[in-house]
Amino acid sequence: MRELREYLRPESIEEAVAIKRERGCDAVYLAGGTDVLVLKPRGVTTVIDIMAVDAAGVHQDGEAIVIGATALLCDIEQHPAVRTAVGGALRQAIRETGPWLIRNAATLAGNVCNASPSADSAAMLLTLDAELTLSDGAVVSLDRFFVGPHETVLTDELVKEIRLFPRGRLARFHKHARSKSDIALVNLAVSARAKDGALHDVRIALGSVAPTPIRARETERLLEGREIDAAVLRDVEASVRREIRPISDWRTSAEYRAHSAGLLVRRAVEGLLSDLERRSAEEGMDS
Amino acid sequence: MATDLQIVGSSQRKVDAAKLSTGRGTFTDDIFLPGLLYAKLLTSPHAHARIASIDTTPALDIPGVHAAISHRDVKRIPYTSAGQSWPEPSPYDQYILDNKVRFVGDYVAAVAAETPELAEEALERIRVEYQVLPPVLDMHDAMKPGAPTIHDEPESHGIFDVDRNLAAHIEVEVGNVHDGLEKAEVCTEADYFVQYQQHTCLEPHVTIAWLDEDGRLVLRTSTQIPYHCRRMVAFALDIPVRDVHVIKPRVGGGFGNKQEVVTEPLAAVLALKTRRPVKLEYSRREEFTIARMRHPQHLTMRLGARRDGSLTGVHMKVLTNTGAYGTHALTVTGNTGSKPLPLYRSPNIRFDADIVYTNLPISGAFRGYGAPQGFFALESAVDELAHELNLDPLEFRRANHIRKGDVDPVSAALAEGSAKKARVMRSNGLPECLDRGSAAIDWERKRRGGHPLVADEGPLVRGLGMCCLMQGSGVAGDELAAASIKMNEDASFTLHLGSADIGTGSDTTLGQIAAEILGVPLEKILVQSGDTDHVSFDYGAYASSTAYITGQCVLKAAEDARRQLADVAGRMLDEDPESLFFRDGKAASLRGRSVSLQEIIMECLYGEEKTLIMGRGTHATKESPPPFVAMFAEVEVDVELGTVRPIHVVTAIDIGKALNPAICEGQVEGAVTQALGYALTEEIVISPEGRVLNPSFMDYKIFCADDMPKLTTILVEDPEPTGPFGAKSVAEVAINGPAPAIANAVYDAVGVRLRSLPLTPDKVLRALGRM
Amino acid sequence: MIINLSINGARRQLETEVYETLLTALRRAGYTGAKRVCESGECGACAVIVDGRAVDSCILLAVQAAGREVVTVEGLAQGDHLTALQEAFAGNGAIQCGFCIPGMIVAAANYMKTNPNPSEEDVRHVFVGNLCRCTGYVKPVEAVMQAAAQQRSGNGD
Repeated sequence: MRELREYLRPESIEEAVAIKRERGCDAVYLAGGTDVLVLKPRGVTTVIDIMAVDAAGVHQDGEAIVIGATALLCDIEQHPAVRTAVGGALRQAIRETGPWLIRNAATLAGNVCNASPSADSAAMLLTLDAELTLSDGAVVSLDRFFVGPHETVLTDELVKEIRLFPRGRLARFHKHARSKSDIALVNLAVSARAKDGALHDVRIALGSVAPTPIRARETERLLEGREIDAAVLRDVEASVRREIRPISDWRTSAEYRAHSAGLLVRRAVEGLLSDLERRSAEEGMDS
Repeated sequence: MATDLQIVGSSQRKVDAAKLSTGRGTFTDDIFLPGLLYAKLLTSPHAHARIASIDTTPALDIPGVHAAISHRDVKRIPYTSAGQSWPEPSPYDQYILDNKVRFVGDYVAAVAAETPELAEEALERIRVEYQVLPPVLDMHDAMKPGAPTIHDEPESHGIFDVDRNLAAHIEVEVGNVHDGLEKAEVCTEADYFVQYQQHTCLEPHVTIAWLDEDGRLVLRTSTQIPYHCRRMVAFALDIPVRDVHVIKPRVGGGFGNKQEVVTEPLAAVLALKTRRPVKLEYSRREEFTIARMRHPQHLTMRLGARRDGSLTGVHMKVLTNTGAYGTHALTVTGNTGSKPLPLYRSPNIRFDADIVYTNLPISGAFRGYGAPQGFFALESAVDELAHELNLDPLEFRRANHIRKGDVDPVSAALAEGSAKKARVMRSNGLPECLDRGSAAIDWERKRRGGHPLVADEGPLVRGLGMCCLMQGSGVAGDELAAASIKMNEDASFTLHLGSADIGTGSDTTLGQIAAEILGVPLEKILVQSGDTDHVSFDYGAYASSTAYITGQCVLKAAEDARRQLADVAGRMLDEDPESLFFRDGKAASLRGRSVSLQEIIMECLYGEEKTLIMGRGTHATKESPPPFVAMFAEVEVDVELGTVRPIHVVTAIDIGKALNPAICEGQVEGAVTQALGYALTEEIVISPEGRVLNPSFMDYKIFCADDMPKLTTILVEDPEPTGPFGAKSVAEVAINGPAPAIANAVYDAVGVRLRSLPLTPDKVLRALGRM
Repeated sequence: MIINLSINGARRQLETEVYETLLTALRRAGYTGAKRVCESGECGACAVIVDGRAVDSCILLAVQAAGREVVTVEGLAQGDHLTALQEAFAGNGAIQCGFCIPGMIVAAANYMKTNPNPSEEDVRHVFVGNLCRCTGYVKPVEAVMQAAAQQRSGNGD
């Protein structure tokens, strides 16, 4: 990044956004740097380090978990609300977003705004109805946030905080990769509310199978309130494969992505069902 | 030979461990030179093109740019970058800068500037016009009639057949394999495909070149071969050897990628041109594209046997892709045949190989040096044959493998070096390796047998696979090591070695040998190595030669010093020198009289004796005894997802003598891990235009700490009479095993044969018919 | 430009440029323990500790470290006295070429501050970001477990 001439570290979001508006596309926001300083975009003359703005920490706000823009992944994964949310699946997703050394510097907001199609956190967040509060006050649902590979609805705004709604859901997360230190071949999350021994409000999200992380809404509808047997699970596999648009690249073929996406969503739903059984048994024992 | 060893055979702490653990260990780039210039490379975007015109002068307009050179600024001398004995058996087909480019990433021009950023700017000013030529992008196309000629330049030599792009060709036969296969009652034939693998040494290639105060060229460089480097750079620049001084500091990994002069010649040219120190360091991207890689090959194995399980014929045919230049072209593929083929007794053995040029990345030396490819094919084929014959693969191997006392018939015909002599197996611990290894993996109980899956089985299925391996210890008849050891006033010894410790711990192992002979603790041996002005001659770190060859030479040098000590001590004690033994820092007689080494040296330097204690030794040999391995792998296959997860790899290895057990284990553990990547995840992927698509650690996947299966290493010692304290080599042989062991384990688990590396989920599912 | 910060407990100044990484600035100032390997945050060989957290210095701008406390591998040992962790690495054959070692030791030392009782899985998980091509990670993981046990029993630093 040898064209870089200016490093600024504003202490408020308003200041940061004002600078960005003024400098335009010669300026980039810098949070943890684990994407920007790896990608090293050409032509950038100004870096706006946002880590001093007032958007830190993780806290519970009613039923929401609120994650500030400058909260580090390593702190987020340790927070009690995150550790226990959805049976540990959220924590797992954050831990698989990158190695420990990266999580000590990276932010969740940064990971989301980088908008990689294979962003590991995104699939999990989509199943928890994540909402982004922007610097201009607007609230954007995560499933409307991604526009294309590395493209979001943002122009000059910053994400101020991310709100998640675990709501006592059951959830499973899975990242399928060649190695524990790789970008996903396919990643996915499923979550659902347990009620009367069935799954409701099912959410299914996948990454690396489309230009952005996506929800598989048709497949979700397939499962809503149903009695789920082997035939339904086979339909789930096929439905997922219809909803995604994977590409072939040198990591693997589109065919394999489709095959494994369907299979792994089916296995995740089976996982939810066994979580459901366990929870019903526990509740049965309590009553 | 001493039966109770004090130093050799124990896991002594490495002599460089303390400084490496504190970050004080100095590697090539850990020094600062005033006036240092940074070199950068302009490389070709085309796989095959002539440089029609090139103008580097606009780069010199930038203040702070001291040099910008192209082929027009360099003497045109064909050379090979392969670090081997002289005359090198590789084609002389490289030029420091050339007027033609032969792969994407080939050198076009180079600059040297006061900062890396200025150097980058300078590159952008260089004007080049290419005349693009049709490329050869598949090794199967290289020899076809009408294929473009990649090395059409008249000055190159040592190429087997220029018009057919054939860098080298090998044909070797023992007996008559055609007849042998005719006689067979069962035959198997299959094709195997192995990929480009990259070494990913953590330390990239880096050379800092400067002129010292006498005008001599100094190369401080990350190399495995300081002396070969000195000779080869002198040759390529047409300057006398005496004007070149090579310094090898700590090296951050070599694995064969630094058994070449990759960055040295160009760094030297720039230093001579600018009269300033110049650093040429490959970026990680350049490591993945323009450094060297393992030769991809297409192998065909034919085996013939009788129903009783005895072999009648073994035929290996290989097509090798040596890439744009023929560095190590002949010798790597020579090893593909010579290392595996003697493993099983057969009266008829044949090896045919064509090594072709392509407009693809340069293949070169990589740990195993052709043997991993050969063993993947042979051990997969043998496994298949055993199953064909309804024999336990372990029992088949036990019945057929080469025995102690046997002669290796292939070695006579296929010697890699200049000596053509048949190898005799004077030591062979393979039977014990088979026993102990199979027990450790629980072979009898855990094998599944390769039967088709039944309906209620899966998706997770486990299986066991195995292989046997052998390698060599140095290049038979083509190695020379020298060492000298001088005594200091505090009864310590300075050991001068030309060998190159590249992380293998050879400084430590060789120091242990000297310490043992002289009867002192390892701390009393100061090991100095790798500086061509100050230490003795050695071919360097390759072919698993250092412990076996340099080790024997250190033994001789230490014994020489001990004889000198004994002579003086004999006079001081009035005893027969031959009767003295050296232990605990003393020379002692059987009668109990002794004198300390400290007293001896003071007497030598300052007393009546007025003499030095300085031992010398050299060693060369026509022997190259193989270490033997029995390797066993357990895998878990997910038949729906196609993944192959390694659970446990057991390596039982006969190394003759474990000079330092922890170091020996470490060598095995590292080699196995590199080969797990070769088997399962590593592959340099190339675009249809010849460009590497995955030139980063994120995209090219080596095993990380959390991917690892359990590793069990069993050190077996069947003493080798020709080795120092009975030792053979350890550095390479284990890297040959995981690929066939895992492929065979997959067969045991799910009944399908996978013959192309790496074993990706795509391939597994297609083989299972599930995709 | 000059930035002020603390390095290994002492107040220091680093000469740097805006576009320079902390890795480059530290190495030029003589802290050559951190290594340049991938320059993209994938291998951990450049790891240093910034304000108590081990991070890859190749993807940090030097200016981001202004006013902060940086600890490099050189700052872990006290003179010639190695830490228990360094002793464990040096003593059990965990070091081969040594290029990945400063990064591993920095990462492990920092991790053990928050988790003095790691399981082997914990250590392997932490080391995902520390690539090694020589050892297969076997002895390095053992060294961390050994050092952690020693520290817990009070024998370590």
